[in-house]
Amino acid sequence: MVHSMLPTQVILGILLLGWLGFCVIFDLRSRQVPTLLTIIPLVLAAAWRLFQGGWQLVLLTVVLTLLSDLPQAKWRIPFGCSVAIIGISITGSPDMVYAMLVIFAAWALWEIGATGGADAKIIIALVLLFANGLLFIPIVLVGGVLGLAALIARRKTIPYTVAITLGTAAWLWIVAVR
Amino acid sequence: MRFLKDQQAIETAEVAVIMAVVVLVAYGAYQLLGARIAEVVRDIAGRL
Repeated sequence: MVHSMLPTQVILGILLLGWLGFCVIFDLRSRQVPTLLTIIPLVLAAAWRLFQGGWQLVLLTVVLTLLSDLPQAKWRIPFGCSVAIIGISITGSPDMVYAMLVIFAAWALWEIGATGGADAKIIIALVLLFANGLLFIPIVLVGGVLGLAALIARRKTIPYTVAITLGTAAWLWIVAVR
Repeated sequence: MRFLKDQQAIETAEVAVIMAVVVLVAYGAYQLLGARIAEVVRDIAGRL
């Protein structure tokens, strides 16, 4: 039974899924999501995280973003990893540690070319919004099922925004019924 | 900024499957060994 969900939270959840739905439409059409559709939510989520407490997550995101422009490509991930480890060591709660790990993982996967920048930015925006890395688990599991289906159908790539949207919807449902 | 400008929304199917397997294995290991890991960490912290 769904409980302890305020009307505001329901509206925010609908807005969130609406934004992800738009991302899915663009992804399915062109395998791209317009920059504004990812940057604006990312900035809003960062501002929300600063307001709610959790500056470490915002700082990590900013540093990783800056590191992606480092001219020496081979040093980006080692530097990013070092920054994430420092961040994890200065943060206290397990939720923040998971969140930092997911932010680093999303950025690193993009950096090695395993995932698109839009996907990485959307995941980081969601982690900043909720400050909880456990959100990544349902996303990754849905992505795994889609990936398996794609491999069976002999396709090389999948629209990951679908996994992000379904995983986020599942996570919101889990949080609501808990 | 390269990261912010990237519009690609594409993921390799193999990577998606590997990530799911890694998360499942990590979660399973945590469920099986979580208490023991915490014990070892406390032991090391105590020795330090």
